[in-house]
Amino acid sequence: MDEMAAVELLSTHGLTRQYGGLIAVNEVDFKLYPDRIHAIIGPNGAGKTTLVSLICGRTAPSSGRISFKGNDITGLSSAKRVQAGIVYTFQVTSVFSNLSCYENVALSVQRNLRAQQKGTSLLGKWSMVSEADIEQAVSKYLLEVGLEGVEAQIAGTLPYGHQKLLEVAMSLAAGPKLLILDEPTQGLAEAEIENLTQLIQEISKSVNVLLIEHNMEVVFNLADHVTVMDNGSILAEGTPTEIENNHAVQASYLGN
Amino acid sequence: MRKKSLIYSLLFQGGILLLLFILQFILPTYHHSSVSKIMVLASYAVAYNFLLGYTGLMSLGHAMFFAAGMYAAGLGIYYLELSALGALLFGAAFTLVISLLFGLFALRTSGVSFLIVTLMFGQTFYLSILYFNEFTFGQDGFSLAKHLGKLVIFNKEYLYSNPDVRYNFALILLTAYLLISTLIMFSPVGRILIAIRENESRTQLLGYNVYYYKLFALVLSGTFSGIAGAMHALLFTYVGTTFAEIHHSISPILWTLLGGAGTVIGPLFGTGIMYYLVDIISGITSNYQLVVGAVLILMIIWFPMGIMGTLRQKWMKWLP
Amino acid sequence: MSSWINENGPLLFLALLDGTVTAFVLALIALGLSLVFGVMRIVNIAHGEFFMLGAVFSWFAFDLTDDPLWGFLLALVLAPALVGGIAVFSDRFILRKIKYHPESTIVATIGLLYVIQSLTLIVFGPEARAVEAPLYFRIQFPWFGYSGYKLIVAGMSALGLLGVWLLMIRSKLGLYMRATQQDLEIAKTYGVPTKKIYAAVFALGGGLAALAGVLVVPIRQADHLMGLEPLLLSFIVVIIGGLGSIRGTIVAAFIIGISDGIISVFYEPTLAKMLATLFVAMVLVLKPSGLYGEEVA
Repeated sequence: MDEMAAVELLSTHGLTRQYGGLIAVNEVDFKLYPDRIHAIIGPNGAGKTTLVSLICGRTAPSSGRISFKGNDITGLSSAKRVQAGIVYTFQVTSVFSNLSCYENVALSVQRNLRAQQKGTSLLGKWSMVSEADIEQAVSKYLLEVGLEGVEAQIAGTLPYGHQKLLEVAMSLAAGPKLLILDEPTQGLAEAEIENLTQLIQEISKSVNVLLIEHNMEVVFNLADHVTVMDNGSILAEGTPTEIENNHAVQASYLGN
Repeated sequence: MRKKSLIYSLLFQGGILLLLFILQFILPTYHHSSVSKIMVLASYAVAYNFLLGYTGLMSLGHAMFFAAGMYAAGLGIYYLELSALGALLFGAAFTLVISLLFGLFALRTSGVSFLIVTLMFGQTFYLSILYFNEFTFGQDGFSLAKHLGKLVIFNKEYLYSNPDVRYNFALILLTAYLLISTLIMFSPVGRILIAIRENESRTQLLGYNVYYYKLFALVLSGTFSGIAGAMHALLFTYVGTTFAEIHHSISPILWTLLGGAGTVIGPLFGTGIMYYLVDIISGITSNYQLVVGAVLILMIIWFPMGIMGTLRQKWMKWLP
Repeated sequence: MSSWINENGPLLFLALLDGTVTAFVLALIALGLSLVFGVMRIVNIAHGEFFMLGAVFSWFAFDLTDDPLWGFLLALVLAPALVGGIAVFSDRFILRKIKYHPESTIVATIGLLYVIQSLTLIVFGPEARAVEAPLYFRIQFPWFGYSGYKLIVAGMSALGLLGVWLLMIRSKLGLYMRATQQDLEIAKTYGVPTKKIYAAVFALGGGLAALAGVLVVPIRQADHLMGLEPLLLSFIVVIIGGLGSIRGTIVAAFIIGISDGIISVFYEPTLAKMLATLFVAMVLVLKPSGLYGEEVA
């Protein structure tokens, strides 16, 4: 693909976030192009999580702009950004632990279904989503992440790895254009990581994925493009191979 | 799965309401009147639970809504000579406006701040009833007995305070509230409200504007409390400041928590039990608040899920 | 203008005097609420009852000694100590059991409010009782005489405030309290006995309210229902002063005390309270950190 010709899906311009005297994200111009898995790596405290928090609207920027599909989204609430298709999956699982898995996914499904229905239904914004449609969609997404049959189980009682998968199912159900996965493999066992890597590969066929990851093996297996952050700024960008051979990155981060 | 739960819970509630309907033919006069009162107060608690139990917002100023409905209806009858239905609608409309205004302000805060804001607004409302005493009759309140028309059913005239009218109107109110609560809780909106209770910021990040849903829950809860207040004015033909006092904001918390916050039918049990407990204690000593206080403390320590909450956890998983 | 001053000047002066006395007492009560909120992160709805207990114990001490001065001195020691004991008991057997969960604590302290109120009613009866002032003298102004005891109340409240301030900055307890307020987890890791600190703070908060109760009985009567009003006023003060800020609490007590004094003299007390509650609700909504407080995270 010719990089110059591709239109970016998401871009930030001079994006900055300050916490008192600390500059967590400093004048970042980040570009994300469609149809590939983009990974952000960097040492702890490099500003990765703050950057994606700014992108999905959990944190307000101190200055700078963000645009998504050519529209300025800087002033949009986090809810509006989800509606636009930017969906964030938490680093620490954040499922509704007292509710059943069905309810967890249904919550996400029903908004997406309703948004689709609003355009076509005669009732417009007063249309209601039928529970049968929701049930069908919930099963579909649970199946997609390999959690079929857990509908009635209370989410908090699932093993940790399964909670992460449930979280992914909730994100998929929201109908993302851009799925942000924050440290998806953290705390998972070897076999689970392999399983999740395959899942992400599968997802990336239809959804753009932005990955924040510590596990270099996962990054180099999955990513088409890597951005390295350090001290709140972008240190380097390129293909995984380019990054591996980049001296600045080796010095500051890879450490060998 | 959900459909089965809905049917079970409608049957369960229907059974209890049917039992209440039959009870009116059996109960001696004294208990007949008590149960009427319990049903009106329980309706208030069901409305309160909508906010506390399902949306996770605790208010310490709900007496404001109850009293707003009560005073709007009562003063409407007194000054504007409204009919009973007119007064009920007037009370509903007035509390709708009050709760909307209140929500727009108060929902900018959350947690303990929200609690104190509701307490303060409630107190402001109470004090304004006292302050404008020339219009509201202040501390003394006023009776509607001489101003309220009669209810005509099949060419026969009844007083609104007639025991049978009272009982059945209270039952209709309670039935409507339980039905509406159940249907909302089984709808997509109910699912979102529960999600807000469980984890507000996560719900926001699933693409829901949490503020609007909380406002919806607050306005619904407030307006329903107001209608219960208006109904109370009609059926008991009295309007007074005790219904605006802070104690009347605390009562629905107690009823709801005891019966089980976040269960549709729980508040009815909580209200009934506390009403009779206070009633029995009052026979022994005028100092029933000791019991109210003790129940509050013991319950919050050892029985935080309340009666129906505990039952649901153990056996009745389908309970809404 | 000058005729207005001639006519209302003395009244205004009286309002300012009364307002100042109210402000000092209010600062004492509100400081207790503020400390509890700041360190323990809980709202104690039963705080007004601790004040009421102070007043009622004072009456009891007066009855016991049958002498205004000795009774007053006894109450000054006894009431805060007893109320502190009740507070420690409540902390240990109620609040700790519900893990200081904010909303559960509110429900539990509402329960405590009812229990304390009812027990007082049972033991002491429903009548409002007056207690003779321990010292009686009048200060003569050109327009009216003013009770000297009221000024002593203001002075002793000021001493109480000073004492708490010294405790906070000089003592080990104060250091621990500040550490716990800053960050509970870090305080724990540094070996601060947070359980004991919680109990101590709750006792101190209750003790301050009780002290205010003792001081106030000779000015106004004591009865079992007197706790609600100071509770609401302290809320107002603590919120306007910024939750958990001592300096803010004292400044706000003066704003509220003096404006309450002025509005009550010239208008109706109900109006004063109505405006105050409305004002504080709006402050909370529009400026949640309070007018003087730092940002509460």
